[in-house]
Amino acid sequence: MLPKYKVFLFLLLAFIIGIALASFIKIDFFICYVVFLISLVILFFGWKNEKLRIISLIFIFIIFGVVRYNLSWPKITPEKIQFYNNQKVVFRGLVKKVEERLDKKEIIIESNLLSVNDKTILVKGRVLVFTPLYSYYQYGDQLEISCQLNEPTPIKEFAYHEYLARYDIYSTCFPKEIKILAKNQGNFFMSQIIKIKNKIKLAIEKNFTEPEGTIFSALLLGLKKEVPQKIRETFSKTGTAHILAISGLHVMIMATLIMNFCIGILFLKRQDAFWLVSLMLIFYVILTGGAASAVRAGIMGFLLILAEKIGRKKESLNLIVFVASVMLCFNPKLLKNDAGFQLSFLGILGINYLSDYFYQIFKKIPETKFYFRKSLATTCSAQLFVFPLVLYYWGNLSLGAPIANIFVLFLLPYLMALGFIFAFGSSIFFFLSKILFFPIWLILFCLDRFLIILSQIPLFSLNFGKVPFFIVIILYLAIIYFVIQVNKIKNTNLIYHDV
Amino acid sequence: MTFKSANTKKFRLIDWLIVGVAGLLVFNLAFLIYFYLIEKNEIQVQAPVLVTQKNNLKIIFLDIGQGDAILIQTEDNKNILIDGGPDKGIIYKLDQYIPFYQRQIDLMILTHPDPDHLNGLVEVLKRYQVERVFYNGVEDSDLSYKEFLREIEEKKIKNEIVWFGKNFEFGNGKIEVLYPFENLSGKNFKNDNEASIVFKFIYGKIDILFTGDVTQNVEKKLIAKGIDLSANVLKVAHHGSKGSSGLEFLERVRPIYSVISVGQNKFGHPSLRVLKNLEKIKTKILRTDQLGDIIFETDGEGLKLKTKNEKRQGKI
Repeated sequence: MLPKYKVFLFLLLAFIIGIALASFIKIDFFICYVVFLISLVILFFGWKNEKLRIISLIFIFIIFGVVRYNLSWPKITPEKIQFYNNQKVVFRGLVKKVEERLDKKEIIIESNLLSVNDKTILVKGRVLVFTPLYSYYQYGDQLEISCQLNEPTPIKEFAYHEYLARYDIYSTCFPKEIKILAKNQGNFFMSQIIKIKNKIKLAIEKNFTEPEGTIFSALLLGLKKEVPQKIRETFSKTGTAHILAISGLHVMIMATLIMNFCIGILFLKRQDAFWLVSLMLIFYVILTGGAASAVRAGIMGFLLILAEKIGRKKESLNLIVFVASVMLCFNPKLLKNDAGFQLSFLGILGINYLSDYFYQIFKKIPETKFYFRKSLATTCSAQLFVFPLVLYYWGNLSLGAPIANIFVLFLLPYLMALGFIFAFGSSIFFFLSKILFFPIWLILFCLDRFLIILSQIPLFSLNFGKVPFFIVIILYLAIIYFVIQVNKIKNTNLIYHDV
Repeated sequence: MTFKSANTKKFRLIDWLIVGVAGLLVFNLAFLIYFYLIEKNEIQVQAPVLVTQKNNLKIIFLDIGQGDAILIQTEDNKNILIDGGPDKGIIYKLDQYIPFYQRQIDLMILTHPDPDHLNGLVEVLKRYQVERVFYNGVEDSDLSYKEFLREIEEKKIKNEIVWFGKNFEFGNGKIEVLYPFENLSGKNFKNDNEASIVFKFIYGKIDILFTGDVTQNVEKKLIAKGIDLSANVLKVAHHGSKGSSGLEFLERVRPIYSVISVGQNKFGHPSLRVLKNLEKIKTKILRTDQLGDIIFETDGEGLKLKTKNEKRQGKI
């Protein structure tokens, strides 16, 4: 008899496999239906037989996954705005999000009314609108836009249309004319958050030089997309790009670090620290404006400290897979198209399985009161799980990533602590930002310079160009083998718990 | 190490701080080495005359992609910015030359309101303390231009519409405006390039001619008026476009160095004809897309040329 938690785990995995299947292969609805019926029949007649029951259930969950993915691509009906792609239209909608780039602004609009050829139609769906750098449309503005709707197409090898589909965007446009019909139509709570966020951003822009300013706003406010490509490259070359992105990995590491900080420096009890860190994660997610990726990252960070609180591996694996399937249930496109999602989950799996092992490997390094050794073990295990995928996506293998990450690890608690103080101070009294910015600036300046130097050392980061997929699979098989070996010979007298 | 002993609770915070401070010191040491060893090697020195004085005036043609942006840093630490490039990238460049505690532009000149000269200036107005602005005052419906004028008005920045005859003096140098010939305020141009401010920057014996985006049409007008155009350094008009830099004009200027501020573009800048013309007058051509930032240092007697390439690879 299989234990219940294992059955649960298998079914969730089946669901994820179903989504994976559907995202790579086009599966006909008819086939789904037939398989579903057959499994249902087997389930009905073979209920008494445990094996048959579980296998048929697994198939049913795979079909659930496939169907969920297929449903996520909306049918194009005249009520959807993408129905009017490649036509000149005038539409009305609410500004959902404004993002600034080096040379333009990108606005996401939730459309509600559209007129084409003298007909007016109620529509739904999001449109990505490109506006000049110095245009001031804000969250909650009701706009009337006349333009030609375009269908996003791949740019060179980058699947831009799939990238946008992840955000439920199927049309883009360069507007000819924009009229503001009304202001402040959005959610009151959200607009207040955005106001505070803008205030902090202004304080950063006024005081920080570049690139320190953009790095800081990426770190604190989640404005990763505003970081110029060139600067992002310095970070990805040194294997530290996770500090620019509010990826789950970043938040996870941060959560562990702050947790360690609370216990080691502030002498809090583990129980109290857990709640404090959870609160901080919520504050952090709010500060980033509740972006989907930040919410996810917040959940992930919470998950990690919760898993650590529970302490038992099997249960925390169940938890991780459960959260992954819930997220995929909400947005099944994440699995194929969101590198952040993939990296986060691999990272958390790595931390779950290998951090104890690395903690023992680094025996020589004295455990300081701020848990340096443990933090090091955390990053190393996450990095090991993530690197084949990074290699596949960007062709980068950063040999010096551990060195760079030690420095980042060392600076990150200072940065985050000072960053929160800065955010809090400058959103209340603007002049405070003039004093509070300096230590942060100094740390970031040092960090940036240090990374530039590191990225220039030859052989420090290797670029393999295009890495074939089967190599990635081989690497993962090797890692899985390694994990199994490690967990077999695991010592019973592990010294990995509260001090 | 002190970290190991369990009885040193008192020292925990102090230990932590010491490690922090020590870390920062090590970092700073690394930069000092970095700045003084690595960066100095990059400097290439070229004749004609070497300058030995410490506080020299610097003219920096910034590599901001397709557009113009020139920063002049005077010997008494005043910053003059001429145009701002096409996007916010200008900030990343300026911040390499202006330290965080200064963040001030003493004079900003907008030669004409085209996006590849203007957009960056708006961002500079937002982030820097700007003391004074020169522009040609033409009308333009561009959003960035409106924002530019709004920023000036809101922050009550001294601004002047300039034309021929306007001089601006600072320390030992001065700026002489040569074009437009009359006040253009409120006029609407189909091609804003025609209304570009042309001016000469004079410092001791060194003359530098800034031509904005002027066309051959304007070049002819300047020649006809009989203005002394000769200069040691020329900022080649309109990123080396085929519509500018006639041979006759170039022969009047006779520069030692000609700087083309250009980046990746679809217009075919710089044009082959202009490059040939420049070769004919035996000037040395310097291009920002090939050299990165182009820096002239001068004490009023001689010129020293450096280039600075970004340490980071890839494009901004």
